[in-house]
Amino acid sequence: MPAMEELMRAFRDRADHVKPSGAPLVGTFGDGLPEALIRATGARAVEVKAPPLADAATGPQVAAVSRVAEGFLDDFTARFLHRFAAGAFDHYAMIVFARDDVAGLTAYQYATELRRLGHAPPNGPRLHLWNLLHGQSEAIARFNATEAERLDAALAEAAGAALSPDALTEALTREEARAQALARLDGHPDLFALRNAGRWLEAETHAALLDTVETVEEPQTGLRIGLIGTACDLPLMHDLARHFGHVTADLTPYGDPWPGQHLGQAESLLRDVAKAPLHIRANPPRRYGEALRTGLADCDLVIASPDRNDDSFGWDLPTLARDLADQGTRFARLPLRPFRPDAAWIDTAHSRIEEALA
Amino acid sequence: MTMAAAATSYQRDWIKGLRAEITQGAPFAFVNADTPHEIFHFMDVPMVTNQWWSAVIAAKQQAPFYFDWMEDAGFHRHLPKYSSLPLMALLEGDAERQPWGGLPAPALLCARASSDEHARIFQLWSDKTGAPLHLLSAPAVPDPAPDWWVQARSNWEDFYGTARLDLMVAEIEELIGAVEEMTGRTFERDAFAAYMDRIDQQEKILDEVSQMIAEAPKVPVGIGEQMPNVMIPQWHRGSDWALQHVETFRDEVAERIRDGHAACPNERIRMMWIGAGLWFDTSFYKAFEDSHGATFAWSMYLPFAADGYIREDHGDPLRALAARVSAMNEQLHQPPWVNAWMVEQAKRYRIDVALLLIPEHDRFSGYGSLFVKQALEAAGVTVIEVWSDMVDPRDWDREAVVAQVTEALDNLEDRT
Repeated sequence: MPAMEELMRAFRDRADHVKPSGAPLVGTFGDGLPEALIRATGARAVEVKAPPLADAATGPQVAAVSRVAEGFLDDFTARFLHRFAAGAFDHYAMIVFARDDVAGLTAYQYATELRRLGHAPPNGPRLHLWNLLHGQSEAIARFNATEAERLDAALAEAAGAALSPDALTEALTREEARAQALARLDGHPDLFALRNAGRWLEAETHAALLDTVETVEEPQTGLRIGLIGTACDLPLMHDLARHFGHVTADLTPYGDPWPGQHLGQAESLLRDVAKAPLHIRANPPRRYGEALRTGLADCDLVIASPDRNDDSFGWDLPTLARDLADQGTRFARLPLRPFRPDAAWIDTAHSRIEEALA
Repeated sequence: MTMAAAATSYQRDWIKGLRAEITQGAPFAFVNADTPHEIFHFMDVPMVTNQWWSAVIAAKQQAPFYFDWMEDAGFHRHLPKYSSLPLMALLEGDAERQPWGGLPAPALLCARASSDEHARIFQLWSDKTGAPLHLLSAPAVPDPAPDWWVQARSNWEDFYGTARLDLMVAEIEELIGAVEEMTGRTFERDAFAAYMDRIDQQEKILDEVSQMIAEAPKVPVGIGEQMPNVMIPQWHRGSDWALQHVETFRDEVAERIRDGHAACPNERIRMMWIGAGLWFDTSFYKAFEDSHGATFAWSMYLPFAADGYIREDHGDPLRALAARVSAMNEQLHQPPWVNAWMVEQAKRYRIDVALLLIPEHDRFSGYGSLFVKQALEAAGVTVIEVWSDMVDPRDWDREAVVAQVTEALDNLEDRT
């Protein structure tokens, strides 16, 4: 299968793309846990937060989940729970939920409770909460070290092998190669999908596929655009932006930060990840805000897109809008985004950007 | 009830004193409800609690104005309201519109990162006022046993986890350092132990009261009277006044039970109100007494005074305080804790009907609601979902909710 097709299939089918190949599967819900740590135990990391694209039409609807999923539950969480209760992850050894993901804690708590109540398969994957805290105090570093020990023990039990320092170094080297392969495709019109496809491919496979993709640079004309907002697992914002210029910074959770924020030296990996400032939930808000402003410094236009369940990002928008206006940057604020936006929403979003530029 | 009036009167006087103190420039702390208030009380630092101030603004029927302003200012409509109402009053800027003519800039801010909005709301307070922000971390308990109210009183080290408690103690120590610097006073650890012991006494008395009301043939004190008798001493916990008040409250409840007094003499149905108070319409709590003999016997405030606060100190009162604070809010909102506790409380109080407040824009408070509903229904309790905010009355349709509850009560009476 041609590389481009394989990458697009991985992006489209997501966890369903991953076929058991002997290595235990470890699901990750949310960013904040370096994939290399999982690889270093001999297991394979698979993102389980973003559902396959077909899930919107054909995904399972489990009555036991519908009974407890409030309408305001994060959509990623709700879709994960339906899939989890329907047995989509029964062959996984473990699922790790990152508390620093906006939806991660709720997904973990609802999944464990569904299982405790007998509404989810009892013999499915071990569920693990990864409580990494973002901060630089010694107390936080000590807490994170304890969390790392707890994770190591759980991974060793689930994957059947303890984390080896050599294996971690090797896994990080593979991650570095993936990052370099991505860097070569900077400016590619499908970069969002090509990059995120790696969430469902092993690092070396991802890098090898990327290496065969022809570089196609979008003409760097029009406005330099920054994208901010809550998690959107579709290239929707990029498609919108393309009408007005080219994206120079995608600071959303499925944007530029991954996989780079999970790179580092083996001996300092977790400390480095804990310093990554673009996790909206777990960071002190000032650090997040500063990182956002730094990342947007060269933009002519910033497009902000919070989702309909947002209770984090919206607090920063009025101040950010003022700051951007002060420096002459245009600011388009899209209507609250549904999980799978329809044509009417996209039209309204397009109009909002036009209004911001008028 | 005389004790409720006494508590309200004490609070009024205290507020006057506090208002005079802080408007004359005394440094005060502005803090969230799930932070270690004990440090501020003990160090004699005037303190205003965010959620209490929010309820004050809501009770003065000012919330609609501020929430309309909030949207005009660019905050989207679905952001949480309960914890942000005071911030909106601050940002709007017209102090004269606010109760007390508004709050001056605090000397210190403190919040826990227990939900997505708290850190951001307090950061905006800090940006606006220049006050330093102390943000306490809130890592979750990874494998929470459902019966937290049993485990957490004494076995809290195992229950909440040593690493989490070490972290919370370290962050409280940092807060103590900031308060020492702010006041110029030293934190006396022996005296703090005695103070924590008095709080424990106070909460144990409230535990007795809760048991008495739960077991009484008819509810002697409805939740409208329970709330001031519990919450006002809770805001002053460990003080001589608070201890004396809860003792007298206990005696008065005992006397009422002995005398056969009932808050609703024709009581036929016992109800529980799940969630924060409906601060803009507290008369709602008595709306079904005449028509159905349905009385609210339970709100979280009284039983939580015991289950949420009693923590044996095991010789380390600061660590006991960390245990009290480290999952304070989470126990009221997250599965399996909230659903398991609601069932235990419903059985204890012989509840027939539960009104479940679901604030859809205050998601942290709303999560777990349907687990609660499912668990209570399995326990034989009729559950009525009330989709409303606790401080934003703009979407509150009292007539519709009364009709909804009336229909459920009618059905219940038809069945029995």
